[in-house]
Amino acid sequence: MNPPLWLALHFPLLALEAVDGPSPEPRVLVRQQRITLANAAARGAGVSAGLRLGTARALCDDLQVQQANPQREERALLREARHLLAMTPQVCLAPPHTLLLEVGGCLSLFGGFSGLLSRVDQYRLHCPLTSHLGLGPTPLAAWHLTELPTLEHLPERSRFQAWLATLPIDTLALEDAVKERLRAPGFQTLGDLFALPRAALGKRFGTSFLDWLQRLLGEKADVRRAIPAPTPFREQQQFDDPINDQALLKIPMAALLEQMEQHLRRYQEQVLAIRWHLRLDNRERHTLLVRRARPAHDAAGWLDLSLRRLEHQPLDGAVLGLGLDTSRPRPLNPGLAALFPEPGARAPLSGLLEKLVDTPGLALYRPALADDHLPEYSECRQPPFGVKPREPEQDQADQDRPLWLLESPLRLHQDNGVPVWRGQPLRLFPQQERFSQPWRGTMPRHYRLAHHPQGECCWLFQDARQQWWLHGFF
Amino acid sequence: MAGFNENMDALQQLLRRQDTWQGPGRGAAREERRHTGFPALDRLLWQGGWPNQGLVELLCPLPCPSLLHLLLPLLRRREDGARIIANPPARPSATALKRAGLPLEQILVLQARERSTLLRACLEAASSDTLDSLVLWAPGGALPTGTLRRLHMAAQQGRCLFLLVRPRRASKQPSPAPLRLLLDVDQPGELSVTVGKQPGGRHGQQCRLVVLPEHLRHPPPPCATMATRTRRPETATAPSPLALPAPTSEVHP
Repeated sequence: MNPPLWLALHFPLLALEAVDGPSPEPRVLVRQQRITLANAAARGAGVSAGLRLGTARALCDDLQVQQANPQREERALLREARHLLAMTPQVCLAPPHTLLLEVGGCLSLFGGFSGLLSRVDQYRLHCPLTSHLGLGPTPLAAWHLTELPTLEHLPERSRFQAWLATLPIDTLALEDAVKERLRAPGFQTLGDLFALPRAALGKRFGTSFLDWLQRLLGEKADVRRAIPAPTPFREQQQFDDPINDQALLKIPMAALLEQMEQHLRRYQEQVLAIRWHLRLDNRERHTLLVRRARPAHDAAGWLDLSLRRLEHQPLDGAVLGLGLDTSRPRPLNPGLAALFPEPGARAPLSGLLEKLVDTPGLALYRPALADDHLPEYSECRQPPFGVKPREPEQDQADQDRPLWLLESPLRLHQDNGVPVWRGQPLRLFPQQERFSQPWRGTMPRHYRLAHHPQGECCWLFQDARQQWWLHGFF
Repeated sequence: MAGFNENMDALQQLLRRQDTWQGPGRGAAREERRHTGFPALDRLLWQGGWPNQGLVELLCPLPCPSLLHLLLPLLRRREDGARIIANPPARPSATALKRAGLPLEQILVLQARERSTLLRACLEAASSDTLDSLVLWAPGGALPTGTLRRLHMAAQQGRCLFLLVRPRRASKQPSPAPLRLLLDVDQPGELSVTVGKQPGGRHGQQCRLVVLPEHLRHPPPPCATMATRTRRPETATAPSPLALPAPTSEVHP
């Protein structure tokens, strides 16, 4: 077994970058009108921690000011920790802005020390936060040893000791009073303390300092709690007697959902979708997806929707087994319920959407605009659940656009060059509008308006081969 | 006297029922109205606009693309509650809806492969008390009176205005819908509306509505195209991407 090796990832600008990552603009964190943290651009303009906000604004015109938000920082740190679980199962939080990873056990997984470092570099390249890397045989050593030379091989333990010995007392993560007391006898670096008898050190600088030093040097175990990996719920049930009646499936389904609710409650989580797996006696498997508009953990609501979904699913055989798994769990965050709802207020639409959205044979969408030029691509079908896409800016607002678009253009017959629809010739307007998008491989189109004798106002186009196509109605 | 009072009570009870048809005079329905956006149509309707809830039948020769123009002011109103366009004959264009001022995030389009799925979904949506209005293009096949009554009751229960678009031939069939309008398109961009049936009012009145702007209803006069006719061919005016050869003045033998 490899000796323990710890990695420390410091995110010094976490408080500034927790929301939207590093910013090239000067940005500072302010507490009680004093700068507490400044990013590189702000430091370049001469802004540093401790300045008054007014002074900083005088130094730098376009200064962005932020207030600290500890919850958001904690969430960002936890998010990074969960990312790093892909590298090692031992990821420990060291608030306020550090993560400690035990990687000694997974060196061979990454093909040795250099493979591990390249994996870490890859992570840091894509990480949305500014990070510093530390390395050491103990968690505290990794915390402190952030300025190491470029390493090709795993250094020996004695080299780490030597690097630790050169650390100045001022840079240690200790309280100021302890550092003051350490400097008083004339100690300059940590190495000055190594040779001294431990009992005397404890007597003079306190047992907590001695404990810290022994954990730093690996003389004492430093037990840290790793963050738990998220555990999606997965359960299945086999039936001794195959179930023929769909209505009888309600009981095992309710039991499984009850287990799921208990599991989610235990971890204070909720899910957005669940999946049922039905194993039939004719070797078929059916998967039913049930989705909600917002994450939920209540068994009753999930059971209602599951039974609805099951109603629309024809089963050819008897059911031998039933499985249930969930989507990625999210932290439980119950929304605020209105204490006194408005009289006459309507029920939320999400309830209806949840019922309709997964019904087989039913399509439900929101018409939405898309950023494209050709009429059939300039709008899209947006699913009723999900994130709202960015709305493109309206252009050509002076051009007439039809209220109805055909799903695909309809080819029209011609009579002496005049398009004919439903057996009658169309009366063409003289104005034309040209659409051309060669990169889509479409021919240029010349759109015209036309009236049909029965009273329709049509939108049609002529392609480069002089063929007429009907595309919409006004 | 006691018998008279009993009769009056029974009468009041009967009048309170939602399905009792009341003539004009003391209708309570006048208070709740939604303007149609067309003053001529508002005058025609005894309630002064669309009813607040319940089934409305629109009978027109299908497909009637101009029909949606009639409903745009209704769908545009600032009300909470979504609007569903169910089983439309083509795709309602998001660009045009947006330009007409409709809140796109509140509009849903519903399509179904099967008629029974569609009707069940519409019934459920109308009764869910989440919709402001629902426009359904009736699927093929007959709609029995029982189905129509269920749709009407669902819309009343869910405070939803249920607009059912049906072919003209359905006007011969009796219907439980309180309001029936017959639509015709004579000229492009013009709708003629005839009241087939309305609560508390007369039927048979007619009005003509203009739903498209002037330049779409009439082709522009031929002189407007003179510029395009007299314009020189493009090849003559377009600058050549190649440099012109130097003019040679004389050819020497």
